[in-house]
Amino acid sequence: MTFGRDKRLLLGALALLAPLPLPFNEVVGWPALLVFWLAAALFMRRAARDVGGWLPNWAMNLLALAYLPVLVVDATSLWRGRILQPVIHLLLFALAVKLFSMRREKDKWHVLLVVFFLFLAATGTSVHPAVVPFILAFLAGALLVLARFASFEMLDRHPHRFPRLDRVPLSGFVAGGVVFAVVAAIPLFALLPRLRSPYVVGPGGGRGTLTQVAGFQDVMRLDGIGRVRGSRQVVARLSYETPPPGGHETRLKVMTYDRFANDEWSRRQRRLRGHEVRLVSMQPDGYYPLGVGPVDSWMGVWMQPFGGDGLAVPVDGVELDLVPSAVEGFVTGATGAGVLLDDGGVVKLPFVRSGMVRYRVGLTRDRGVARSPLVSARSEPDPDPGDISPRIAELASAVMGEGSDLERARRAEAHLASAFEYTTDLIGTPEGQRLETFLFASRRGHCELFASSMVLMLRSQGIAARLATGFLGADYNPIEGYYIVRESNAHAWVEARMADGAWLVFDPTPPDGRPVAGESGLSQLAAQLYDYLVFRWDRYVLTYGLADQIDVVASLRGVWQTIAAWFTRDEAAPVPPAAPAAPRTPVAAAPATADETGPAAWWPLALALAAASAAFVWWERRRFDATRAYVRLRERLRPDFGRKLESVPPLAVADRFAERFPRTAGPARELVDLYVGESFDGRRLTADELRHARRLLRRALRRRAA
Amino acid sequence: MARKTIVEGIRITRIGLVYIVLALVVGVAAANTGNNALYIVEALLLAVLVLSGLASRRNVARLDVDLELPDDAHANEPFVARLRLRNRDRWTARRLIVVEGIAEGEPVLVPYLGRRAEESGELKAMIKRRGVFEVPFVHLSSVFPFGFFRKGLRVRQDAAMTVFPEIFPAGPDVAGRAARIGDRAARHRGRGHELFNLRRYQAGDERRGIHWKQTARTGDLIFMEREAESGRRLTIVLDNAVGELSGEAELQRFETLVSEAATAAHEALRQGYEVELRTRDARIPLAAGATQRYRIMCELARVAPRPRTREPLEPAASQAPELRLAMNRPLRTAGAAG
Repeated sequence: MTFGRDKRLLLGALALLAPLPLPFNEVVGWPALLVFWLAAALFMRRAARDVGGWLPNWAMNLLALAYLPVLVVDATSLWRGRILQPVIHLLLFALAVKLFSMRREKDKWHVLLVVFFLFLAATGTSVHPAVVPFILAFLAGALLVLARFASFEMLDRHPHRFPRLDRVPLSGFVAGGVVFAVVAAIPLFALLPRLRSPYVVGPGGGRGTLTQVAGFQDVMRLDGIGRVRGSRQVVARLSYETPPPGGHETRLKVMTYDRFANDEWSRRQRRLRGHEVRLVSMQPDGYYPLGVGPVDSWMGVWMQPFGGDGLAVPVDGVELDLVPSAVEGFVTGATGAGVLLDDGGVVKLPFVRSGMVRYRVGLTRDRGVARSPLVSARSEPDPDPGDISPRIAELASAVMGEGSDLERARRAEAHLASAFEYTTDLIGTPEGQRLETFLFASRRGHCELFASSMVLMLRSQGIAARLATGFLGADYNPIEGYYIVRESNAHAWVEARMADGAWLVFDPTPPDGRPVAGESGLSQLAAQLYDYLVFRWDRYVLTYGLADQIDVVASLRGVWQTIAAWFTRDEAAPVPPAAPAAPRTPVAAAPATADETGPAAWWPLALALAAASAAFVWWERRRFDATRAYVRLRERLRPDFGRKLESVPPLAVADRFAERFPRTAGPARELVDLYVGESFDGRRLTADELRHARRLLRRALRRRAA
Repeated sequence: MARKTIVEGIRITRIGLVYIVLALVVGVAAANTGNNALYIVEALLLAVLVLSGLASRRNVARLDVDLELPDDAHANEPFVARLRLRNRDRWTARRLIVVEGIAEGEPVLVPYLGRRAEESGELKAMIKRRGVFEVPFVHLSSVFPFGFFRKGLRVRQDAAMTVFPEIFPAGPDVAGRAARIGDRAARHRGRGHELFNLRRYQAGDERRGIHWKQTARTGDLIFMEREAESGRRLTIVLDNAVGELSGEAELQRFETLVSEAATAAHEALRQGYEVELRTRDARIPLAAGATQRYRIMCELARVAPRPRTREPLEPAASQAPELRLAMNRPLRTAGAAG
């Protein structure tokens, strides 16, 4: 293999780079990758010294056979039927062996192919935007390898050359090529046809960019929320399309729990008489009704998948607008399969999400009382109040006193918020009687303890209550103007039913224990910038789908119409008085009666097309000469001469043309004469002769069919 | 230096085919899975393909080629031509340009041609047939950047040169016979250096010719007559009235005949002979030297078969010894040693 040392080093470097993201995506473990890197490093060391002695084919085959039992164990025992990891291990092994057995010219192409598939696996299983630098680095490396291989082949094939270079400068071309490829790839990515909903690979090659947030499943322990309060992982992003109503707080409900037993909350069966989970269908206006009240503003939500099926909906949300482009499983955005709404006001999709979900929620103005319209007034409390000890009941009675349900609930809320201290220290403490410890011993705890205590206290006094979990608060990202909800915003609160049947929101957690905004300053700005990138990556790359493509086209159309509006005439120009009286005739006899934007919008397009056509015709005419005319004429004889056509002398072309198409003999011969005069005599044709040549060509080609 | 260029089509190589198949496979996988990461890879693959096509096209654009052929050469004898390649582009360099199409010469590779740079070099070629050799086009091609496509271009040239007949290796056959014929030429007085005769000085003789030694010996003015150098003379008579030649064998025989005439003239002139050439079309009078050689070679490069005639080819008036060459005489095979 000529230039063997250079080729091996290039491929070795690319092989080192290709599998880099795999451990970060939990597709392969670091030990496996480190072993491969070690082998690749040894190979490069050997290649740099150019000592030869590479593996023969029989050794390569022997090693392949030796790996078979490893593959079987890998697939059946270590990864238990999962195919991705054993295949990746096999690829790594095969690449390492192939590197050491590169002896012939075609071996380098085999290695490059395996490297490419490794790169494909690494990229395909990556969901983090940090994969972008990796892709760019690999692109640059691949362009350099391909260009070098082409130059090596030519240098090897042509020993006679000047200047006597043994290496062709390529750095400038590779750099420019990377920039060009990236710029060209963006519109290609946007316009490549999408036939399926976006698929996002999760950690380990599983599905979905999962946010495993405890506290939002059907069963919840008392420290589920507290465990994630330290996590900054993004759960959702919010944007207010219009300023929210006064007094609005960002409180998103995901789940409610009714039954408390053995220090854990669970959701009761919903299939009670008259209280089944409802499938809410889309209304004619395109929205799903969630509660009562007029819509005063809209909030857009981009929610990461939870691994569950609940949606985070503001407690003052009354309408839901599902944006179909990011919702998996919906047939089309227009029809919609419906959403599930249970008595606790929990909104669910009828399937498990694996990708980001986008939706809008209509908010209603808070009338000064914490109401939760996201419930049904008909919902009944669970007849089973749960584990309420006499001590809790006694405490509740002492704290709540007498009065209306609202007054008594407020007293319980105020008591817990003022007399207890928020802390996360109890997370992970032994199970059993944790609420008792919180209420009567430590008087310190996290939000689930506060909320759970209040629920039990209210129930002990005959007020129906339940635990609600979700998110409270959000960080504002000024770079783009949206709010970020993180796992650290997870919270638990109480919903209690008043005498009039309305369920109200109560939050007994002390204010200093409620989720707050993140740190300020440069670190926050850096975090916001990072989140901006991650969000854009998630939204416009990972979950880019067909509906997004339609949006892109619609946006372009909007831009076009905006430009077109610059060319339209003043619409206030006087129109005939009779025009409005005949506004809807199918044929716009008078332009003033027609759609004022429709026809005018086509003028710029028509103008642009006409200008482009004129420019093309002018450019073609400018390039036209007898040689081009001759080439077109000669091309008609391709079936006769095949690949030798270019070798046929002009006079023979004229003779054959006359022979095959007798009626074209005259124009063809004349055209060939002009060509010979221009090409071989070096005579420049005049404008008249060029026009004559065009006429001859038209005649020759037209009569050909006769 | 501007020449008319004819752009040829772009041809895909085997590597390019494999690349396209790979792009298709990735595209199908992306469409089938909906994985946008695969769409990113697919978009990059397509973008690289576009880059390859555009770079390939640009790499052979705005190139000027100048081919300088020698004024003459002999058939079947390598000659050196000079090639100049200039990049008119101010933005991008040119790489891996292969220049070919000059007789049976080997292609030349220009690995790198910088922006607005010029490179020149020599290339060897060989032409098998005598006559006027023209180079209508020089062919440029390149597989830059990645070897996916081969892009070609023809640059029209006005280069031409005369190809003289092949000179066979010197041997005792034709050239030797010519030499022997020339040597048997009769001596006559002239302006050479050799002594021809001593006689008494006569009025009108050049005083420079007085042989003073003999004059002193004899007491009479003695004049030295010198021998003419054109005593070594040769007339080559090539009868090209051979009629219409059919078949490659007869054509080759005629060419061999012409080459033998050229070889004889070349050897005789090299040895200082005065040589004359006589054909049915032309007569080149006796003369010696490089200029005479050139005249004779030019004529032999152009000589073509003529219709047969019964009239014999008139001998030269110079009465120099003749070397007659005709198709009915036994000829040796071209290129065989004497």
